[in-house]
Amino acid sequence: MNSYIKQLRDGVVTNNPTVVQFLGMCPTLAVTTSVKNAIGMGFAVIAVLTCSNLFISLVRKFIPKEVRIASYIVIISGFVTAVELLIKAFLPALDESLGLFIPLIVVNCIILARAEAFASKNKPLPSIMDGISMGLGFTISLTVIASVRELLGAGTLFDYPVFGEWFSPAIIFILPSGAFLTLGFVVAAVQKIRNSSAERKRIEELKKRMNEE
Amino acid sequence: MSKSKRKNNNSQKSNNTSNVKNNGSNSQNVQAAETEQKNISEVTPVIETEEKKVSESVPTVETEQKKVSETVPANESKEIKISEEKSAADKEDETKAESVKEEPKAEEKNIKTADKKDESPKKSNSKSEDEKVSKPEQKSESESNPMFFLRVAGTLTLICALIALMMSVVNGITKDKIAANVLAKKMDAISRIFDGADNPQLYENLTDEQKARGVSEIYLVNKNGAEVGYCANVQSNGFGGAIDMMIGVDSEGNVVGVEIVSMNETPGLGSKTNSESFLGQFKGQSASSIEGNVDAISGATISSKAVTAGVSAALSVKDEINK
Repeated sequence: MNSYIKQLRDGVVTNNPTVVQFLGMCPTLAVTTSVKNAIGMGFAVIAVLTCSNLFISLVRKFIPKEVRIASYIVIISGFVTAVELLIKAFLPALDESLGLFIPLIVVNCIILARAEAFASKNKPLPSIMDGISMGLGFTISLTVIASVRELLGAGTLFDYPVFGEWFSPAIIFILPSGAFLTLGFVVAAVQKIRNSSAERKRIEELKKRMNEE
Repeated sequence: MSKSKRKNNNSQKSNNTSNVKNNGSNSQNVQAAETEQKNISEVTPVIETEEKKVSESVPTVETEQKKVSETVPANESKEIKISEEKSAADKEDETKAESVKEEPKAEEKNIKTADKKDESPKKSNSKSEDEKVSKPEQKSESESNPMFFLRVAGTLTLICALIALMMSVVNGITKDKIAANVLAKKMDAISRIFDGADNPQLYENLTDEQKARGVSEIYLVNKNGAEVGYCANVQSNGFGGAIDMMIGVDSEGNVVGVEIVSMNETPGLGSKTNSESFLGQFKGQSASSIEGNVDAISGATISSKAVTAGVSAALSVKDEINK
């Protein structure tokens, strides 16, 4: 159980696919114009990531390594197409808001990266957990970026107007340049937190070592 | 004479240091390539050791390595004699082998070493990469070619077949539902535009030329048995892809209403075209009055133009409908 919690923390905090590993930058920048899109995309990625991780982990011993990348891509695109068809049929409202982004999950680097780095080398259960934790980390960072962009760029959150009449939104935040700006600031903040906690750990270790001497 | 001495000393030094390391090739290149690999793979460092990743995560280089297999077994043996280097002759650095010989011979070789030194860094570069990757390669290389080929191609074919099967199953489940959803959406739009029409009929004689204008479907609308007009389903090119619209036109050629079925424009900019204030200005317009009478959304020129073009296309088929 502990290892699963560690994996969860890994995916969401220490090894967050967006702000630490810098994977999947394309959907991050494109989808975060509104919080609704970000959350929808995040959940779709969790679904695809978990399924593909599970499937690849189950067949990892049968795929010769010379064709592994090709096999992963076939499997991933198969799952994404299936998810897209199911959403179109049974959740047409979600399909309207996400539209083009669902097929774009195929080229989301996170899925291929986790398949190559984790699912092809680990058992099914940890692979499922890895899919869930990485997907969750992706969703959370996407939501954070999207809330900044939507709030400052359109004055709304989840389509609810937050500020009122006096607020004149800074349109740059819903344009691509604003995406890069917001991403940069968010990553900087995350790095500051990580470094300060790493600093603290280092200082504690030094103190410990001094006490032992 | 001193120059050649220095050259030989240098190559001898690098010789010795490389001899101390495992592979007997130019150690610096191996290290540089390894640190590069490590940097890339540090990004996903979860559970496995980094060394494993270095050897396994170079998919593209793998295809070129058949030549090196001869040199690899020789170098992998830990006996680090200088004679070993001579035996692994082809891509091995000839200057190193030469520098081991007596110095009197250095003068003759001077010219040769000057030439070879240009070639050797490149060769040892590719070779070090080759060596690094060829370790995992050895297993599959030892299989006979036809079996190996069959295994690889067969597995890939099997996987593709399985995935195709899964997709055909999902498609079979969802196909009708999706078609029904799309039709329901269009019918809803028609009933909203024409305020309660009974049973719109699909117009059958749509020409290719009309389709090229963006009009994909026309529905003839009746109310209480009398013909009221038609509703055109038009796609035009917006900023973020196709904008799918339903435009209702009455029998006099005036726009009854415009509804956007789906669009992918920028939220906050192009998406503002999907508002009553923008779409409302089309009501009552005819093909002649639409020119220059539509206010675009500032900052969303392309989206505004696309919607206007769609409405124009819908109006243009008014007199071309043969029943």
